[in-house]
Order: sequence, then structure tokens, then C-alpha cells
Amino acid sequence: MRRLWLSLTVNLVLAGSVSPATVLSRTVEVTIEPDGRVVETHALRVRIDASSDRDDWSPYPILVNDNRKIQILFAGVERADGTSQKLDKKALDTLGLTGEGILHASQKFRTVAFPESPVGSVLVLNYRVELRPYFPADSLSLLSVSPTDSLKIRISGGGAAFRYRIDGPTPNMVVTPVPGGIEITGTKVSKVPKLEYGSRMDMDGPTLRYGWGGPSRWEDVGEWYLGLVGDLPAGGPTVRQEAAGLKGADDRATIQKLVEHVRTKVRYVAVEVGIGGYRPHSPEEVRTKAWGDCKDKATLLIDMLGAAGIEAFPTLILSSNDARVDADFPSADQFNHMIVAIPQTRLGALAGLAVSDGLYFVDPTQEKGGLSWFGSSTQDQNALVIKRGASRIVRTPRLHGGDTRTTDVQMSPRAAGGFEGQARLHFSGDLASAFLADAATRRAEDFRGTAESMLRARLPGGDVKFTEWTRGEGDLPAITFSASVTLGLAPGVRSLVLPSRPLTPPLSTLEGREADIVLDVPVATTRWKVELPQGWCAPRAPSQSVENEIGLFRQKIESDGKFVTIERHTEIRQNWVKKEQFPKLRELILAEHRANARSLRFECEAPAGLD
Amino acid sequence: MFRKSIFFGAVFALGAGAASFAAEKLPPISQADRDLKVAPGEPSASAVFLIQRGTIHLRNFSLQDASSTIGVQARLKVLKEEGKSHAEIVIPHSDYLRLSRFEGRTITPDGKVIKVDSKGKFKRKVSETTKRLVTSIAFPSVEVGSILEYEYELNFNSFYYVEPWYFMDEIPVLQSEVTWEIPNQLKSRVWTVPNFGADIKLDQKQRTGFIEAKFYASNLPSTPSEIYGLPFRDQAARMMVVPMAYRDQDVNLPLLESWAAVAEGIDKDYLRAQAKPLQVALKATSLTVGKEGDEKAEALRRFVRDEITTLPDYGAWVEDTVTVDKVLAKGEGTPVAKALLLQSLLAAVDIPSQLIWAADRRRGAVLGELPNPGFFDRVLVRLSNGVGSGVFLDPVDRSLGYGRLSPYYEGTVAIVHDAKKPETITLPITSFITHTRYAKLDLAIDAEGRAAGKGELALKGHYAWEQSFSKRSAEETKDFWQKWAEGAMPGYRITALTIVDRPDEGALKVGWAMAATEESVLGDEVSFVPSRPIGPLRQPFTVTESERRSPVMLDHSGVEEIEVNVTWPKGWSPVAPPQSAFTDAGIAAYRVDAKVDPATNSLNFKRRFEIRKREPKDRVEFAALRNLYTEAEKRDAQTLVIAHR
Repeated sequence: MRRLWLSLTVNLVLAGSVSPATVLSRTVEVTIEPDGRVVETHALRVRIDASSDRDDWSPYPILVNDNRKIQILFAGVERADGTSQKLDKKALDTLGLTGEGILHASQKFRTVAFPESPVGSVLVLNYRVELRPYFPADSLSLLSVSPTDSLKIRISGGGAAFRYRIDGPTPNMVVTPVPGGIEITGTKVSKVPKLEYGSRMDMDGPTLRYGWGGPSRWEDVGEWYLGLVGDLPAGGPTVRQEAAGLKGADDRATIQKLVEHVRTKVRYVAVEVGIGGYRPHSPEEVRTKAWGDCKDKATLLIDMLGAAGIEAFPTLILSSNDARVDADFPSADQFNHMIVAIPQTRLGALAGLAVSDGLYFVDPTQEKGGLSWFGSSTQDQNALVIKRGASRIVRTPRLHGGDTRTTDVQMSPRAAGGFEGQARLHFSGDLASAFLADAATRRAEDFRGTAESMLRARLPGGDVKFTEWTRGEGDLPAITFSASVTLGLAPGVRSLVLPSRPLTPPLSTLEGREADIVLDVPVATTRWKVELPQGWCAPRAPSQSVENEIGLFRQKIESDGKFVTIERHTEIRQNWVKKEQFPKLRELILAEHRANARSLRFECEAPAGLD
Repeated sequence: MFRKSIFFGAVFALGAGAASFAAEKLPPISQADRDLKVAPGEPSASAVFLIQRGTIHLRNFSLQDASSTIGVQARLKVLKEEGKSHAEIVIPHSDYLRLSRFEGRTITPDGKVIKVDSKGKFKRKVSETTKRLVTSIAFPSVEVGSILEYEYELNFNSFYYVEPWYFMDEIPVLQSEVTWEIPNQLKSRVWTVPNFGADIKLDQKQRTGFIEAKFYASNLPSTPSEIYGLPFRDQAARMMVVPMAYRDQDVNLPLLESWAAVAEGIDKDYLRAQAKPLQVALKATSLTVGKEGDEKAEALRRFVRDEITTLPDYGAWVEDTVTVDKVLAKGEGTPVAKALLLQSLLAAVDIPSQLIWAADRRRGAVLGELPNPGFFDRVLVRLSNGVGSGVFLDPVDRSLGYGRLSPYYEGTVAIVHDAKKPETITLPITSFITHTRYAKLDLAIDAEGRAAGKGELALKGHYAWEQSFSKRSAEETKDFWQKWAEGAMPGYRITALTIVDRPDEGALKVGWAMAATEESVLGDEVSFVPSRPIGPLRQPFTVTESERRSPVMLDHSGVEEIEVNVTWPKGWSPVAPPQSAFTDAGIAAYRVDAKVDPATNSLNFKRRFEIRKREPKDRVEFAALRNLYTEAEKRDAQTLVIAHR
């Protein structure tokens, strides 16, 4: 689900796609005015080095919104033959920001369309931005999608409280703090790196974050938010009445009922207009219209919990599987989502719940599941729990059940050769939630066909006949698919390569790498129970297990002479892996990939060279 | 962009009075509607339209109607939690398709009526330049059992914006009806496509000054959304009152009467745009110096294709300010303007040609019996009489070679533009044999069980077109193919990648070296799937021939072939040699030839999958295709193990 907490900062220069063009010069002047306005001037000169470059830089998008006005000062092309062309108004457009799941947003892009330009031409763009930030902080990507010959960034006017942080290395750049600001110059600056399995921050390159005046600690960011919503009517009579009607036998039961109520009765609709990107609507309004975005739903839940005597806190979070809020630079513009934190003491038994640092976290935008269900994109994230005078960053927990996938196959020999049996595929968490929604809306034959296709992918070479699917009963969204399967084997063949795909990345990912590796990997278990045909013996492949701080890979082969059971289990416990932990990840990769690559031979005599 | 009113702009001095459009209220909600819990025949449907109603008032100039009007009223019931997603309605509109009213209300299961207020209504510009907008509403207090009602009106000036009425939707529709208000002065005809057995009935009444014709149908299923299905506009049961000509005492104006009428109207603008192209003539001469015959046409096509920026637009119209000299000077133009420029350039070097109006079939089929220039999104140039006669030139698509068409234009209905006698043609379909995807791997396994070697992938025809990105940088191209190779051949390190992309020849070749990665080397065995890197095939058709609801149209036909040569050291051998197989299903065929040579410790494996036709003609042929995929999927999945024995 897309959630709306639109950041008011966009890495403008990164908006184009990958290109080998050369940024001859990029100059950004940011002036923080005493009246709170911020004026930016941008000057960009890009040389077209290949015929494909122009398409990568045109149309060039610049973010616009109710609070951010753009003035194009000059746009044109200087050709290698000495001629030049100034672009007219027809080259400019303003495009509304659209996206899946967003009903309305006030964000737009001012675009500049450059004409076809021969190699050697220089695209020139100068523009001015004037904004009144809702929160006194902003950010700027230092790298571009193309190498930059000359980079100049100057920020001034920030006063004594100016602060900054650059989250990444800055080779070929000189960073000079100046009173009330900063200067960064660079020559021959590299372009944004390309990384597989990287964090969003590493893939974007170093980002300059800066702030001025006002809030500079996370406590301050919390107070800023509370000031923003200070006049929001809360505790209205109808909300209180509704909450009272949903009181349970104890706090946990009440929390469960209220969470379910907000999840199911208030549908998620993403609408953002200006400050509405930060400020929720009143709980009474959200209750009445029965739709809202993440902060609307969170605020209503907090209000209802409050009415039921349970204190709860709005919690800003970045919903992402490959990015994290920079905890060392307090600012409001790093978040994109709001959830709710409740003191864990109100929950009673905590097993399976998303609990961290004395708080239980719940996301009211999740449509399926109960109190234990906490989506993977909000796990292990720096969340700002907002509490008057005591706002703080808390790392949300990493839970075991965010995304688990289990395949169970039981096979017996067929008289005609080969095997037949049953297969079950069980999902819980993120994927199960998506399948359950699918099951509710698709025609039965379409859903069955898709499920059958998925089962076939796990049993390649076999015949798969879907039999049924069942919904899980527990707190987590869960679904199980069942099928009957047959597997033909050529005469005389006594080996199988079990169809399972390694989930860890290839070893080459680790080579020469400095950046963290971010793994988005489910907890996966595959179990095969095979009844041995006459004359077959259990495979001699050894059981193995590698377990360390990063995760676990286990292959277990057991036989009682009649049946052989082969189980493989992969689990990543730490999805952000630092360089010093690469050797541990390497152990897991080697074990998992090699186990998956090896065939299982059911020969009773050991092949030569093995024993 | 202002859609030029080709016929009306200069002819009529329009009055300012608005059409007296007032839609009748929807019938009261019945008890059956209130009690409805499951859509009849579609228990999986999360919501159902209880009624969809349209009123299309066609402009009457003699009454000084300012515009034509489409009024839409709908009543939808939410049947499941997931059906709440239908509680946001989005209407795109523009300067020339103007939204004048948009209202909605929720009727809760207990009968309470709650209007969508200003807080639930949003208007936003999609593009300032093209004046495209979107207005959305979010219904309040929606729960399972709620009934949602909405209505809106769109106003437009040109009869070319008249679209068919679609009786079906992505969810089931219990009742769909459309009333056309047709001025007596408008000559028209009825065009109907009653797909899915829709029983479309008609009630017709003569009113003062116009005919009121109501078409309606009941119990319509949802439109299918199936792989390789047709677009919605080709699938839904639909009808249209086709405005053919407007005739009163002052005016006799042909409209969508015939392709001839359409072509004649547009031709005046084409002639004006191409009149006295002085700069174009000079350019044509300079571009073709030293060239002869086809070379001239190709040089001019490349120039227009590569040097003139394509501005996105639809339709066969050209703005009245456009001339080919201006397009040349500015270096940009719409697909129509580029075609006019190419034709003028060709004419300047004495190569006669014709303009062909064509459309990408993914947007819906062009219908010969429904003359509407708005269908088209591309104008091709066909050489005639002499040099390269009959060759089609596409002045837009950078991945197409000389005389080639993209697979989405092949076999479609197109119109040869001619002011006097336009011709309906079907664009040619190339044989499956001209589109090939061929991969070859040569691997050797050493005594330590390391497999290494080289591979190549050669694409031709449509396969090359699909992957050719002639405007993509060399670096991006290399990244793309590196990722493809690593994904297609897991367990191998891919190095020394070379790519030769020749879009003008319709050919693309990728080569690489490959070696087993450390984590996949076991020492005593090597396993791999020999259908890689093109396979293993997956069955795309997840429902059976009896369950499939829509016709099948594959992207294109073609041949996919793999050849793998493997050698191994002494003492090693395949654990289970791959089996040869051949199945010919008529529309497609699958063949595996595998030969193990113990004398040379080698295996030669060949696999070929042919799709000979992109459209099965009936369910029997579809079943044959589907069954072949099932067979191919199983065989393609086989793993070959070569082990030290």
C-alpha cells in the first residue's frame, strides 16, 4: 500500500535517469532569509556526450507545490557549432504528480523539454526556487546521475543555529563550514553509484542535510509536530461514545477492538494538499467521512484509545525496505508514514507483538491481521515516538513473522514410475496479505490458475493440480495452497535436484564492497518427505547448519529407511549487513547456494570418489 | 492542445446557450438492491453496478446548442471489504472534454444518505500545457452494503469525441442503459457489438426536434482481464450512434459518414501544411547527395525519425499552424507532422508516397466500418510507384529498421489517406520464421567441477525490436544485458559482455564469457537447466480453454531456440541424460534433441519452440497452444546433472 506522508524535499538532480552525459557545472545557492523564506538558485550545464543523453535529461523535472514556487530564469541549448537556442514557454509544462493509490496530491513537477541536440551540445538551465519550509530543514543530493566537472553549493543565512550533516563520503569535494551556512566545492565529482542489494542512501550517494533555527533535537521535532496539531479538536463526544462502545474486558481487548475498528471502518485514501502532507484531519472528521490517510487513521486511533483511557503516541516512521531515517540529524522531512505507539504495559502478554523500548507499535493502515501483524517495511526502522517533552527515536523491532513461506511436499512412488503426492504452500505476512486480497476479488478460476502456476514453479517438471486454499486463523495474515502433484522420472534415474532457489545474494555482491548490504528476504522453509521406492536408498548428502548473527541456513536430511525427509531453512535475522559482517554473510551464502545446487542421489552404492 | 474543429470551427457561429440537459433521476433503490449480497453469477465480485446510465445529447446547431453533452449516472453496491476501493472515482477531463458537474452520495445500509462534500472532492491539473485535468471524489462513510451513487456531465464541441457506450465494466453491471438524443438534422446510424451475449434492446421515441433512442441491457458480466487478452474497448459489449452528417437548410456537413468524408476534411490541412516546402526541398537534396533509390528514402526516414523530436499526440489531425518547413526548423513535431515532413522530403527527391493512418492495437482495434480519425496514433509513409514501392516507413519508432513495422501495428486495420478515395487495408503480418531468438552456450567442465565457457544470444525481427533501445546509452545497455545474463544463468559469473545492436537491420547480438561462481562449484557434480538462458518456459495461460473468457492475441509469433554444448572430463558423466522430444500442435511446436557422445565426453542439446501464429482461431487451437506450453514447461524445467561417477 502506498502511504502518503510526502516529503517536501526532493533530490531534484537525481530525477533524471542514468546517463553518461557530463555535468559541466552545477551551482546551487541557498539563502535562508530572516523572514523564514528560503531562496534557491540553481544553474546547470550538461554536455551531451552521446545521442541518447538528451532523452535522459529531457524533460527535466523540478518539484513544485503549494509552498514551493519555481521561476525558470533561462533554459536553452548551446550547440557545438556555436549556435544557441533559447527555449520558449512551449518547452515548459507543469505536470501533476500521479501515483498508484494517491487520489490527490498538490505536488507537481515543472518540466523543461530540451530539443533534440547533437553530441557536444550543452543544455543550460537556470532556475529559482522560493519556498517557506514547514520545518526548518532541507536536504540536497551532492551527486548527479552523470559525472560532474564542477560543483558549487553554498548555503547561507542560517544563523548561529545552522547545522548540517553529510551522510556519506565526499571524494573530490571540499566542505567548508561558513558562518550560518556551508560551502561545498568539487571537481571531477563522480556520479551516483550503482549498487545491488544496497540501501537507498548508498544508492543515492552522499546527501547534505541542513537545518537552521528552531528545532535541532528529536525532542524539538516532536514539539514541532505537536504544535502543528495543537489546535486539532480531539476527544469529541461521538468519538468518545464510539470508543466506549468498543471497550473490551481488558486493555488488550480494547486495543484489539479499536485497532480493528480503525483498520476496517476507515478506508485508506491518500490525499495531500499543502500542509496536509503533515497535518492530519480531526478525528471527528475522519470518523464521520470514514476515510483518511496514515496520519488520519493514526490520529483517530490515538483519540479513541485516549477516550478508552489508554495513552498512545503518534509515531513518525519511514516505511521502506531499503532506507532508514538518519537518526543523527533530527528533522521532520525524513519520514513518510505515521503509526501508533502504545505503552507495552497495556498489552499484557507480549509474545509475537511488535514491542521495542517499552512500546508496542501498531500500523492502522494495515487491512488484514490482528495485533501481531506489523509489516516488514516498518520493522527495524528509526521511529520518532512523539510525546510532549519526551519525544524520542526508537528502533522498531524486527519480527520473525513478517514474511514467511513454507513449502511442504510429500511424495510416494507410483507404480508407473516417478512419484505422486501432495504439496502445500503456506504464506504468512506481507505476501499472504496480498494473496488474501486477491482471493477475495478475483474469479475463482483465475485465482486457482494463479495459485497452480505458483505451485508449479516450486515443482518444476511435475504435474500440479490445485486442490484448495485456506485462510489462516491467527493474528498474522496467512494463507495455505494445496495441490496434488506427480513427478515423472526417466527410467533408471535415481536422483532429484530439489527445486529451491537460493534467497541470499551471490558472493560477487560482497566483492570490493564498502556499502552496507540490505537484504529483503523472507523466512523460507522447504520440506520434502519422500517414500523411498524399492531399491532406493537415502541420499548420502550430509545435514548441515550455518548459524550466525546475520541468519541461519540449515539443511537436514533424515531417513528411517522407508521415508527420507529433506528440509531446508533460510532465515535472515539482520537485514542490514555492515562490511565487517560480510564474512558471516559469506558463510550463509556458500552454505545455501551449494546445498541448492547439489542433486540428491538415491543410489544404494556410494558413487566413486564420494566416500 | 486545442483539437482543431476541422469542420465546425469556420462554419458555425455558435450561440452561447447551453444544452438544456437534465438527466432523469435514477429509479428508487429496490428492496432487491438493498438485499443483494452477492453479484449474480460472479460470487467473487467485490462490488456491482446496480445501474449505469448515460444520456448523450448530440449538439443541435439549429437550436444553438453550445456543445454536445454526455451525462453519466451510476449506482454501485459494495459487496465486500475489498469493494471499498470502488469508493473513489476519478474523471479525466480537459479543455475540449469539459466536466461540468460531478456529484456523489453514499447510501448507508441503514438508508442514510450522505453527500460527497467539498472536502471529498479534488481537482488537479495533470498538465498545464495540454490543459488536462483530473477530478476525483472520495465517498464518505462507506462500508460493506453501502450503495454509492454518482453522476457527472462532460461537454464537448466536436462529434469526433463521441465514444461508444460500454455496457460492461471491470465489475458486473446489472443494468446498463444509454439514451441518445439525436437532432433531426443529424444523419446517423447505429453500431452495436453485443459481446458476451449481451441482449441489447432499443426503445425509440420521436421528440420535438430530435429522436430519443434508448439502448439497454441487463445482467452483464465483468470484462475479463486475462493475459494476452484484448483491451477493454475491444471486449466490452458496446454500441454507438455514429454521427454521419449534419444537414439543415444552411449546412450539408459530412461527419463520420465514410472514410472518404473524413479524409477529404483532413486533406485540406495536409495540403496547407505541405504547401511550398522550400527549406524541406533543400534539406532533402542535401541529405540524399550521392544516394540512389532506397538509400535516399532510408536517409530521409532516418533523418525524420532521429533528428526530429516526436511530440506525443493522437489522431490524424494536424494543427492549422503547422507546416513542414516549421517542423524542420523547430526540430519537433507530432507523429502526423513528422509523416507529412517525411512525405514532403521524399517528394522533393521524386519519391512518391502515401500516408497511412495506423494505430497500436493495444489501444483498441481500428474498425473499418467506424470512420473516426481519432483512432490513430501513428501515420506511416508507404512508398508508391517506383522506388521501394509498397515499403512502409515509420517516421517515429527508433527501434525499427527500414520497411519494418512493430508487432503492435502488424495485422491491424489502417487507412490509406486519399482525399478522393481512401482505402481500408490490413497492414502485413510477417512470417514467424523472421522473428528469432537464438542462444548458444559452449561449456566445459574441468576436473575440479568448474564449468566455464561462452555464450551468445542473437535476436532478429520483433525479438530484436523488443530489446533494441537505440536511444539508450551504451552504459545502460550493458547494465541491462549484464543483469539479464546474470538472472538467466544463475550460478555463473558473466564477463566480457559484448552487445551489437543494429535496429536498422532488425538484429541484436549479445555475447559473453561465463564461469561457475565459487558458491556453485561442488567439486563432484555440476547441475544446470539446459533450457537456459531463454527458458525455462512458464505456462502463461493459467485458465483452461473452457474457462478462458477472452480471445488470445500474443505479442507476436516467432522461434526461440537454444543450443548447449557441454564437455566433461574423464570419469564424469550425466546422471540422467536429457531425453529428446517433439510435439507439433499446429499453431506451435516444441522440439528437444539431445545427444550424448561418450567417446568425446560431450553433450549437444538443442531446444526449439515455435509459435507460428499469434492468434489462435478458436478454443481448440487455444487448447493446443496451452497444452503445448504445459508440455514445454515441464520439459524446459528438467535439470541436467553431470557428476563424477
